[in-house]
Amino acid sequence: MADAKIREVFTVNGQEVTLALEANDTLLTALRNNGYTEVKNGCSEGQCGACIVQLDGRPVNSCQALALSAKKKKITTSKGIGNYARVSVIQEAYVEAGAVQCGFCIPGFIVTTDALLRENPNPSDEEIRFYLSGNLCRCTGYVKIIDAVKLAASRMKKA
Amino acid sequence: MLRKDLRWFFPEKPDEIPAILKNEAKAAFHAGGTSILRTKPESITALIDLGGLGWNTIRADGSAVVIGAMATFNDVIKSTASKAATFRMLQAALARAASNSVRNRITIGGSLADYAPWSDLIAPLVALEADVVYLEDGKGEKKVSVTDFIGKKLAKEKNCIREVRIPEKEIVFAVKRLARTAFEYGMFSLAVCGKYSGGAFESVAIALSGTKDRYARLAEAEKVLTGKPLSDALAREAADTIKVEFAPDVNFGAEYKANMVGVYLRDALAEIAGRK
Ligand SMILES: Cc1cc2nc3c(=O)[nH]c(=O)nc-3n(C[C@H](O)[C@H](O)[C@H](O)COP(=O)(O)OP(=O)(O)OC[C@H]3O[C@@H](n4cnc5c(N)ncnc54)[C@H](O)[C@@H]3O)c2cc1C
Ligand code: FES
Ligand code: FES
Repeated sequence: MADAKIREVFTVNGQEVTLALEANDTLLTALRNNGYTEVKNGCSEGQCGACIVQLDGRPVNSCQALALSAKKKKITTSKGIGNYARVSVIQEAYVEAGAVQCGFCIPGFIVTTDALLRENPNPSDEEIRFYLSGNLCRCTGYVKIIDAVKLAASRMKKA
Repeated sequence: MLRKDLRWFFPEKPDEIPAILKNEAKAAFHAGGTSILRTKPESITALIDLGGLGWNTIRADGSAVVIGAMATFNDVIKSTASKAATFRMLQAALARAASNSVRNRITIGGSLADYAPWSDLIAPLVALEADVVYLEDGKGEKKVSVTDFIGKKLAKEKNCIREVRIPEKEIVFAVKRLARTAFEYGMFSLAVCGKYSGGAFESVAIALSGTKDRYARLAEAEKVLTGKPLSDALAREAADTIKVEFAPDVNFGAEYKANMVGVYLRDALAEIAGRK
């Protein structure tokens, strides 16, 4: 945002970038205003998980974090996990399992699934549900999302 | 609305805090920031981020588990610092709070200072008779019981919580919360713990949070349960002593919530009796 007052260096998806922001911006606002529109704004209340990014590898709701508190942390969005040029195993698994309908919730799910599988490469159904408890999907009914996480886990093990 | 001209401070040592508090018109501590973002107080002129002080560690010191104020709920849940049942009770209670991603953000210190009626932290801390260590006006270190910390309203703007200490003890416990769905603010939380042998409590502590007075120790029920064989009839007798007041909300009436405390207490006691 050209009229934002502060310029601050953040680490986003492994790169040091200067973001223009206000002192009272949430991390969600700061990221979206600086072009990271893969981070979605669903509820702004910490309830839906569409805005989840990783801070130092842990999924957090970017609408519930003030941006400046993240300036010394590594921020990872869904495009940091994989993008058109380098699709991740997790993104492939979501598509193949039919876990994507409108797609609005998916960036948050991808970010959370990546953190889950790094922490626990072989999660049970129960562990997947517990870990994804902050991600809501209004389309799929979750069954295929759980399938996608398990598919990604099995492919990552083989790799 | 939080002010756009909010000034941020990132102290790396606690002794940097007093000068900031002195020089700023109205400074507030920033931990996870989730409550600050919910309430968005316009009066705050500066935020003091506590993330650079190394206060997120959890360790056992021989008699207590010492939990840094900046430890998140998930830091506590995942910690292997102590195997004591008292710590496991806190872990069980916090695992029910919010969602995984929110638990990665909300901290022990921020939750204690915030003291929300739906907090999953307060009931276990009260039942476990935890202590709170804080820096008075950002300076001298003080230790008080959690009930004094809450009762004397010590979570004033200038008192900075540094750590919470949970005594390491072998106890039996059960934690319950009333909510419509798993990921929802709890309407109340109930924590029951004590020394239990031969089918009876030698001592028991029962704490409830979310009431009109924010929290209560259910002393009458504790008295009924101490020293007598635990049975359904005794659990009912204990539940019948409960007199607590709630405010109604959009989901539940005040009377319903008060009734449910007795139901959940009986459930908790059945769980404890069944485990032993
Ligand atoms: C969607 C959502 C759902 C939630 N559900 C639950 C739930 O089910 N159960 C539950 O227990 N909690 C829940 N919470 C969390 C709770 O509502 C508060 O937001 C949280 O406990 C505040 O912690 P924080 O670390 O973010 O504090 P902050 O927002 O950083 O601070 C809160 C207050 O404490 C002060 N403060 C912070 N740290 C200190 C310190 N060390 N010493 C002195 N003062 C300090 C601040 O100045 C501020 O006044 C939920 C939050 C969200 C967003
Ligand atoms: S937009 Fe952040 S949780 Fe919904
Ligand atoms: S695919 Fe539409 S909300 Fe999840």
